[in-house]
Amino acid sequence: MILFIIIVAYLFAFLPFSYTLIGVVTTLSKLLGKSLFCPIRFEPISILKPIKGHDPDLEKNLRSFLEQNYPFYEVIFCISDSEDPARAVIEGLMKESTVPTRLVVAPFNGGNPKVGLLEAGMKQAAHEWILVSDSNVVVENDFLRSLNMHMESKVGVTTSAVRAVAGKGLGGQLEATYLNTICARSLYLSEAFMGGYVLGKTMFFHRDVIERIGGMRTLSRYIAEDFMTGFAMKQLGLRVSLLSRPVRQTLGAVSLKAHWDRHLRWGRIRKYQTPLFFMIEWMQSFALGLILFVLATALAGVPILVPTLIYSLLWFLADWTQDSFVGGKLRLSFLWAWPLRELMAIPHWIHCAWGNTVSWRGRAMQIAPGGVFR
Amino acid sequence: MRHQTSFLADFHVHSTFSDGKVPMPEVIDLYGKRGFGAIAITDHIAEDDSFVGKAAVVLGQVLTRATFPLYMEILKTEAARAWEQYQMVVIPGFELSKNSISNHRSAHVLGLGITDYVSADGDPVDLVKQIHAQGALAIAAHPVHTRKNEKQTYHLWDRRRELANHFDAWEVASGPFIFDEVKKSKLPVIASSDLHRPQQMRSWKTVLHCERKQEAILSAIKRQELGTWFYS
Repeated sequence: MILFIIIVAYLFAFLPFSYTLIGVVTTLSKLLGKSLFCPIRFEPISILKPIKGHDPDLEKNLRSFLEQNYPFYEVIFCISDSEDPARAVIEGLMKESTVPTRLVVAPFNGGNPKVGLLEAGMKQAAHEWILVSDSNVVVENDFLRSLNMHMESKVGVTTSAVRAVAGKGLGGQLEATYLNTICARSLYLSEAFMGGYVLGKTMFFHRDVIERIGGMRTLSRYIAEDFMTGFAMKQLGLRVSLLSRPVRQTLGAVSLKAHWDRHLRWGRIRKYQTPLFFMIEWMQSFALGLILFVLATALAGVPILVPTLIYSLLWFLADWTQDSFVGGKLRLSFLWAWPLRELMAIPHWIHCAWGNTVSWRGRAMQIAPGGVFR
Repeated sequence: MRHQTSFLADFHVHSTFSDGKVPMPEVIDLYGKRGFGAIAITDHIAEDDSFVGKAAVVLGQVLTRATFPLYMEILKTEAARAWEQYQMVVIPGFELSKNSISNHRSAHVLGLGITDYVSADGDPVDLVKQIHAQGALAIAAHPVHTRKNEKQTYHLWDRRRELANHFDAWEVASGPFIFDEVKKSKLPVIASSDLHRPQQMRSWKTVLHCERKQEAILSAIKRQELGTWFYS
């Protein structure tokens, strides 16, 4: 019986560790792979920027899309409130922009507020290729060019991982740790082995593809429009393609509570949207792996300290390597942010499992099974 | 002037929205390229209240209330493409799946020409009423032993005398097997493939001679102006 417990404990200690290692290797191979551009393809692109409020570095983020080294594109800024604090920044940029720009004001009309803005933006879009990009994203000036290799008939949506930058405060560092490790590797692993899923920070598609699912309106009933877009692509027999290079997400100052609440929203959405994956999410936790490893080692009658330190150090180094490559720099704050995030993972998972209410940009929402608004 | 032709039809076809292996557009092409005149996409809907139904939802093997609107939207756009490209009618459907450990408590009911979501909970008579309320047809799916090593659904056949007047038709063949007991019963019938993967194209189908329109097709089934044909 003890032997059985030892085997099971070691198995569940090494399974998530192996997942992490495979994830790190997959992420690095994608990041270090060559980004290919088609030198002669310049399909016109309409960029939709749904905006609510004044995100950190908003002007810098938006400006990066107005300075693209790409011949044919337009930028459509979408807000729901004509008094939105971001409006002054948008209008200032529009005045000095040499790129065609438009401002669309689409009042909230129920359902997913971001989808409402995108629906209004798409009506104004002049081009067939649409890029949806969140307002807290900043890109290099060759970003649009990097999309052209993904303009193929079997690709439904192209998405990207995020590189968390400028995270300030306790929550900001925890946020960066999550985005650069767990979030990034789940995207790269999913693309490599499970057909991919969509992260809403970047969604690039042909207008026809969205029309085939009944238009943006179809997605407005879902709280996670990005996940459902990926799901819909699979139903159409189309691939989700992932850019090798992550886009930069400006985090700014994030409090611990804001970090906790954001992940509560994401966790509860996953619980209702992909219950099977949510059920096994807690098994990814280093803290659980560590407890099981210590238990198995103690039961095996082997000295605990050295093997446990090696186990912990390997896991930490694997994640730190990934954080450095995805984040683009070696972060010393990772030394404390990583163990703290890992310790928080299981209590946070339990909090997600308990309840169905989330708060999103000041709106309280209740989620029903399948990720629809209750 | 009404234009009537004979054509092959398959009224029991699955896509990746439930446990089918082929996405809906590829299903359309699979049948369209072979010259079929009509198909019904009939993905599974499980019971909300049973453990088996809940497990099927968690495993992503069935349509849900949440995915149903997307299913109907894609069906609509694919039906328009199927007509334009192949002159093939695509009928929206579902397969209400009541699965129990006991084969005699298990039943699958097809709805053809549906518009709204129906949960598979409740007595088959109630399910049929809900299907009919949408102006759709209710078909008893594989009501007898399917001649395959798989979960069986005998409940409707066990109650066939009571249910005979409720259902519009009973599957007389499913996949490559014809069911003599259904044939001899004199109940109204259709023949379908219960297709989950392309290899299952080799199976029994229904032959119709009517206008290629949903109403005309459903009416032909109701009036039993049809034949069966083994497609190989």
